[in-house]
Amino acid sequence: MKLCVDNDWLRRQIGNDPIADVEAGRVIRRSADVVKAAEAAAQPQAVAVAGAPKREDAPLALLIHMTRRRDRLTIAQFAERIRVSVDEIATIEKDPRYSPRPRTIHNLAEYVKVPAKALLNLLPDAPVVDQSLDEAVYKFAASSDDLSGLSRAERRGLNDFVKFLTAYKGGTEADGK
Amino acid sequence: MKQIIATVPLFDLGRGAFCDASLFQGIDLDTLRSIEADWTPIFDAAAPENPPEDAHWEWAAKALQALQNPLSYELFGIEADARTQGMMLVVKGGPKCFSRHPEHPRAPLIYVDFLATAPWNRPGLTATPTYKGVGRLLFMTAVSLSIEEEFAGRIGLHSLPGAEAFYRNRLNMTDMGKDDAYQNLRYFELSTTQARQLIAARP
Repeated sequence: MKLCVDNDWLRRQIGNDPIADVEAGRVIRRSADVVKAAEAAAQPQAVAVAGAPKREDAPLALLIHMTRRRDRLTIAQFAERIRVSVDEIATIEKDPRYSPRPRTIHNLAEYVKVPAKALLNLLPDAPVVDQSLDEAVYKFAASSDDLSGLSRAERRGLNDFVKFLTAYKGGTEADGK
Repeated sequence: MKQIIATVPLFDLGRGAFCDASLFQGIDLDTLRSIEADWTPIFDAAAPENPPEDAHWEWAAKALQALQNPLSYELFGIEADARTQGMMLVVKGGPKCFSRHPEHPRAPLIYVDFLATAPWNRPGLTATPTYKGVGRLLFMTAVSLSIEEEFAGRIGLHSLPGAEAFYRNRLNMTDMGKDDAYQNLRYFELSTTQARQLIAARP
């Protein structure tokens, strides 16, 4: 990773900064605090939106899986195509509770040609508040079967779902909409 | 795994001059040892607490082994004088990584889970802090990661009470008010526009 500012910039800013406390977030006093923070951060999907229903049907995993099959791409090829790690694609497909990084959502949305905001509603921690999305997910899930290539019905199911996501204007409770 | 990203300037308050420090990505046993040996005794002397049963660095070192190659977070550290001067953990995905800023609601951002400096660098703990600049360096590292992740520099964090003025006035973040879902700490965001302005800033 490369810093977005150079050392001259840093010297000028630090020189003008007051001598001040700068701490943010959880309190770190010992090494175990660091590790516990890392453990918690490694499982962001475990943090639920209070009181919200959870997605159990893993529509995002299904969308990736079907798109890969449509385009005849292995996990590694697909990961390369959307510029994310192979591990992450494999994890999304395997673990329905895994909540991918926003960058992954962004790149996936670009590849599938749907708005990233629509994909956010497919995350496991997105509270489902829109019945039309629920129904579209259900229909999509029901249309799929794990054959090597996409059948005509599966292709139609995938196309319909992508079309729905492209036009989807709904939001989640977290949107405040 | 720990790897050096850059050599960066820290202001040595004792000498009144800048010196070189190393900015690292990742963490290793030396970092954990440094925190346990250098930080913890000072914190405990200032405000003793009963550490949990498992709060030994040997335990932490073992636990850390299981947390290598993270997908959802990054750890950064700054070292000078062979000691850890500050650490930051940022999260790249999950519920905290969506903007609450009116400029771009729900846009993805990097969330700073913690930003901590060594106790000898904290004016709240010592009358004569050693280094100035650790917070600025770590924060700009988070902004850099945000740009690399294609989040346009957007950052979110919960400031501890003594640091609010730094985030509000020096980094020009938007104060979104107290967050009752996070110990009533004030939540701050650096929007896309603010990130652009911050990087372009001239003192």
